[in-house]
Amino acid sequence: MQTGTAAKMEMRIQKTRNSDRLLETLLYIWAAIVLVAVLYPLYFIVIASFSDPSAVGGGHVWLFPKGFTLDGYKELFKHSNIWIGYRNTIFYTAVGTAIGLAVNLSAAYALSRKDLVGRKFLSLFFIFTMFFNGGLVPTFLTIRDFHLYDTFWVMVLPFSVAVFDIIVARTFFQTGIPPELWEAAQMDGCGNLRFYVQMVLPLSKAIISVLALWFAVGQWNSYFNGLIYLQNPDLYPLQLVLRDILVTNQMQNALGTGEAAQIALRLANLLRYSVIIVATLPIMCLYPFVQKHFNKGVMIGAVKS
Amino acid sequence: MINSSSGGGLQRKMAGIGRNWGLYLLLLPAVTLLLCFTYKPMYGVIIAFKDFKPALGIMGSPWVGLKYFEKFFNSYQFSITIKNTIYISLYSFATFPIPILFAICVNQLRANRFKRVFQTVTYMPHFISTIVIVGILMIVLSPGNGLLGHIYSLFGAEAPNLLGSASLFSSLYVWSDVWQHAGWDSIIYIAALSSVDPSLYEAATVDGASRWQKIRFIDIPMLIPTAVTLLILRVGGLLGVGFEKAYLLQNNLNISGSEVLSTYVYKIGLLSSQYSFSAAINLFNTVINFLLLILVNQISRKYSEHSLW
Amino acid sequence: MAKYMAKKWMSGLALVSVLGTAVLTGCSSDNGGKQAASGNAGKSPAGESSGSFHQEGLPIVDKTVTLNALTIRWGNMGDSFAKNAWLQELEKNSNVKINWQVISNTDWETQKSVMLASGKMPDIIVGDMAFGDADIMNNLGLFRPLDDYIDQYMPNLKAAMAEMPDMKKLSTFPDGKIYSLPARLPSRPYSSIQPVVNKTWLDKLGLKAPETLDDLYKVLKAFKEQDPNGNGKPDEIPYSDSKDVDMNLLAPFGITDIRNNHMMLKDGKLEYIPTSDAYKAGIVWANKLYTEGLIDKETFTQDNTMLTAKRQNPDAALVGFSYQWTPDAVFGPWSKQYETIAPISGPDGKKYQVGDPNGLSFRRNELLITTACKYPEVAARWADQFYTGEASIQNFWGAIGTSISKNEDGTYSLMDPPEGTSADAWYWDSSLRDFGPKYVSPEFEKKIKLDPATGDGLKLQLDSLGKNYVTQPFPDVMYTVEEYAEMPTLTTDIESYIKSNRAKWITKGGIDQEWDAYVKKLNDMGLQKLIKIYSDAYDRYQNVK
Repeated sequence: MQTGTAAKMEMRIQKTRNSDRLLETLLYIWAAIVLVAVLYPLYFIVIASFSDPSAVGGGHVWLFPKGFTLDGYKELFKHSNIWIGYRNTIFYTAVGTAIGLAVNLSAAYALSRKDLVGRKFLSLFFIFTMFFNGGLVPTFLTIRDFHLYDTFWVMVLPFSVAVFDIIVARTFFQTGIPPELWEAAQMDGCGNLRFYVQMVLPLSKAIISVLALWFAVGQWNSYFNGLIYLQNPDLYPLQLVLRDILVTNQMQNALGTGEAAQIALRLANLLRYSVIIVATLPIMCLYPFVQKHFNKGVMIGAVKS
Repeated sequence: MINSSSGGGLQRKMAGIGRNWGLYLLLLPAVTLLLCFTYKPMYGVIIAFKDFKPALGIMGSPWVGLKYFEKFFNSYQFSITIKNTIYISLYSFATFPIPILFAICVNQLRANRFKRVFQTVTYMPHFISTIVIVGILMIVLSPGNGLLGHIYSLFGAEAPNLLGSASLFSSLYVWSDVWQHAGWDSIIYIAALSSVDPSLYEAATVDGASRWQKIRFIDIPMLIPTAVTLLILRVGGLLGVGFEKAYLLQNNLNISGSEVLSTYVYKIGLLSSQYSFSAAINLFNTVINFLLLILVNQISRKYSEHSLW
Repeated sequence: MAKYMAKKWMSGLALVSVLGTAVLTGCSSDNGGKQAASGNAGKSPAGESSGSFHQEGLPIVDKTVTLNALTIRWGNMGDSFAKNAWLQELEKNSNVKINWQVISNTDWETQKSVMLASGKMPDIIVGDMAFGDADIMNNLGLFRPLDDYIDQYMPNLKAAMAEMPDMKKLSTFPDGKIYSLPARLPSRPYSSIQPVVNKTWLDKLGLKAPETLDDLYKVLKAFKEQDPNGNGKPDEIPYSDSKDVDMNLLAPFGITDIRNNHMMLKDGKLEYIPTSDAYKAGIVWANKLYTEGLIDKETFTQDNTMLTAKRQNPDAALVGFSYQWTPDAVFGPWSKQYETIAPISGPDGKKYQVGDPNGLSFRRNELLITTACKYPEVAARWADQFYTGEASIQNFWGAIGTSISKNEDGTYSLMDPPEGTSADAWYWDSSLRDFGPKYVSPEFEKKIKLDPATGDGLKLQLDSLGKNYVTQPFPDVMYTVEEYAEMPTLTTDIESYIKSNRAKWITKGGIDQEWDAYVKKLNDMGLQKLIKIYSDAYDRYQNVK
């Protein structure tokens, strides 16, 4: 009788193990396929940036660079304002991310609290702005009235509220910070602000990292605000500088078929891939630092008790 | 009686506000920024009902009522543009679970180093600009000397011109998006999974649960709040088919499947800037989206505990 | 640990409060901001009137006046043109200092509405890329009518308008006033883009340059089938293009559309091309070429990058026939193989070349004076300095002494560009080039000696092949505000329907069965209304005195 149960148990565990193993195998096959599907185009961009643009466009570059050339990079770094752009973007990203986190995390936490009087109204107040805005001209006039036009701050302050991020973070706070925790803290005479800074934030490393990543990447890639609100080229972010260098396809259409168009087109084709590498390599390196915070396993259980 | 009870409610509310003053302080920066930079210029939406001429200013331009809305509804392209936009949106909406599945799978990868490399690599395509993505698509799908053409010619067949097909445009649009953003979009779910209490997994292992069971009873419930929130938000962006990719992939052969709201607005403005007309189309678009959001939010509140407000 | 936490707490709170107050004070200073902004609008020092202004001769003013000038340039061309010695000289001699604001065309589209709406306009605007007809017409309050200024302060332009009435016709707005100044560029051809064929291939196959449609068909067929590039592979592409076939391919059928609006003058009468019989016949012919593989099957889907790659394919020349401005820059390493030929004659035995029998040299909206400008008469006199022959060529190629040499016999010739720079890029670098006011009289043009081997000189050389066949184009008309309000939706709908049908008919055929339904649908879309707008505008143009 007893051996029978043990055998049954053994069998069940065996079955579980088998299914686990199958799952595991399928998983790694899937991962390998995905990896190849993603890696190849990335690899393509790298080899294309070292290849003769007409070989790339003609479909002759598949595994190795063809007509090896560094012209794309040389042409790119001829423009000294790239370095100014890099410097500016790094500042904008650092400051913008700090401001963005401060503003949005605190708003998200406040909105996550069920005992916040006016919560529904406030949520709508935020969400409404995801849909409706005044458009370019009135926003421009407002920025000018605040004396933010053509300043460093216009890039990091006025548009730092990200409602999407607030809502996502709010969801995290709602599930990750149990109400009992606040009740207990309150009992100890802890106020809202202290609780937020000393308890909530340390418990929310995962969502803070995600938001930081979103902000940093958003700041890094943004050019539109610079385009509208900056006049001084010394303040231009990298993407705006690159945009000016990389004359787009529209331009050749407008230029027609003259010689200038051909020169511009060749340059555009040459720079297309090297621009991607120059512009995104630094920000891509950010992810591993963010990732670190995902795998630590937050100790909510421990705190609860 | 009634008066005093409502007065009591008010008092209770006031007390609640007083007790939680710290929370309002936390909200203050975001609310102030929105008031100054989003709500203050919001009067600009009226240009959809005006004949906006920049020189006259927003207030000085003459009112035209619904003229531009009528113009849009009566336009020959209206129905087909709306149809394409909705179709592509729904199609892309259907790929919503992919980042979730992606996150679950990534979470199951046990080899830590591989997992990290995998995550880092799959998030990279997010950074490639649209123009380059489209450029690569064209090179790969070219029936002449693209990858597709080479594969077909191995079998002695002639490759179809996928880029010129109106019916395949939506697939091209949606799946290249999935390729580009699935890794990136899964980050938020991976973060959500990282906050699973490890002791839960340990307990499940002791109980002899299989990995599949752990996914089903621990991981998925953990993802639901985030997923529902993002789903509702996604409904609110339903008519937003991105301009750049649609425009770059568009050609005269596939135009009957590729003309969407954003590309149409762009073309209307090519000859001369049509501020009011595009404002009207955008307003139409946002109002629809906002109504959808309200609707979905009501439904979600009724059938689940999750809602945006 | 506790200490650390406390510190973090403090800094977090500090940030929040700083942010809060900064924004709050920002909010309240709103009105002050507005006042300051409007007070800054005119930068010129107050109290300085045009008292020191001279009606004629140089300097224009005794005390330096600064004008803010906006100009839009292609992509990353930058402001190197401002170093042009002629411009510098003018600044010194006239006492008019120009403060250039240069914006790239990619950025300008977004910035335009903001500039118009914010009221922060520069004093003058140079080049036609900044504001188009519709922009000017919709914002007339921002720009000054210039008729009186031309009359009083611009003798050079006045003389030019007397000599070439098109200069005036072109810049007269529907309300009868002139808001923007025109230009006539030097040494421009009559023909726009011309047929170009791979001569090496022709020679190899023992063929003559095609003269008729039948010839062209045979040549393309031979290119396709007889491996003229000699690599043993059937990789030759007789004709290729990007996104659409070049409308010039239909030129032998009498179709020329230089304004890209489908309007054509046939025997002095207006005709709408896409519903004409000639167009139908042309499409049928193009469909035949396509079905037989003589038109690249990727034509309608590939982008410019891929087309260029085919034309400049590193291993072997691939493309046989094309329409180009000049063949020298397009085909990269194979440029030497290509030769421009005379127009192909059509079914009626006649040849048609797209272009303008008056020369492709007229432009408008090259200079605007805004109402923000405090010294319009100074600006007008400054602009008039551009309307002499010698000034114009220096603003087109570069200053005398740097890009142009003045010969002893009174002629002008161009210098060689520095090593490693193409001539065209060099001209763009050292002058306003296509933009800005200019006038070169036909008389003066005779004094310009260009090298017929490259650039503008080459084009003039090739022009002789086509100029006798150049058709009379639909003029560069202007539309009224009402017409401009009507046109965008009409043209967008109609254009897109025409283009998608063209692509369908060329690739799949079926034009005969679908033609009537197509014409009817176009009429349903408001085609007649559109044609009426075009013909009204045409009549107005013809009636300018």
